[in-house]
Amino acid sequence: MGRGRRSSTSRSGISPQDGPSARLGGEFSPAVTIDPGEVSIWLPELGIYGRGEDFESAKADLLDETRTYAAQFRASEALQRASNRRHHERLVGLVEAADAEGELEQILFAEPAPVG
Amino acid sequence: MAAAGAKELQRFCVIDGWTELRGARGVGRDHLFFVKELPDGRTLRTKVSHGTHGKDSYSRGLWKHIWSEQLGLAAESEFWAVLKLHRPAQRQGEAELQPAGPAVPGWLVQRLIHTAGLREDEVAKLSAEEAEERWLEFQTRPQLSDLASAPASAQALDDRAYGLAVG
Repeated sequence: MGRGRRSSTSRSGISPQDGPSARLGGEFSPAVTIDPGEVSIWLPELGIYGRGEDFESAKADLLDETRTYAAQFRASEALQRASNRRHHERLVGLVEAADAEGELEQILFAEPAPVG
Repeated sequence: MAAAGAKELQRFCVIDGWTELRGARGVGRDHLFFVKELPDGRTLRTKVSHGTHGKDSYSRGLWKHIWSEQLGLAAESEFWAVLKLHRPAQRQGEAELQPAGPAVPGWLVQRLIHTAGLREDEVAKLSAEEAEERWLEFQTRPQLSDLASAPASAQALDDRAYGLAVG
């Protein structure tokens, strides 16, 4: 059985061979709560969540929700000018770029970049 | 106090004067989206998510994020007061909002389940700190391929895997 252990010496396991999505770790920090029969994932940077009966379905729901939020943000002046959402402009751009590259999941679930 | 479900959240949005984002239903899911502009310049947004397999109420951890961060309430009791009294919430300043308790980071859950092979119910029992310890332990544990170079008994392999001296 492959264990997937990497030869990198970084604490997070990110190696120089990893793509840009892995090196962008730290932009998003989804937090997972697992309860009997339900998994929820809160994405604090955008204030959105996904939920499902297991981790995979909760993750799929969060990816849908992230795309939906990005589209709503672009379409809504109220969201763009809101004092609590102005900083979302950059994050939404990052989401759109990552999604276009097929790397949205990797961006959201990237390990934090090593410190130092 | 029980966590609310989608029906209660939708009813709250109606009473509290939120605007539904038309044509914004979630892809393939029964979600509704609402926004509310506040006098202090903030715009709140929430998703009314109907659960799967008949489970409608939100989990406690998620519910706290919803009422505090999406609905902008200072206390959960304010949510129930809106439903009971049928009048909009009286919101306080953003500074009074308290963050929800710690959960396990998403990247770490991903690694523990997909790379280290833990089951979800095992991960569910771990605190964020314990989850990180399990991941570090997995990363530093010798792989079977590392051990295959020298013929050894199963006991010796076990001992080496756990860092015990092998004669």
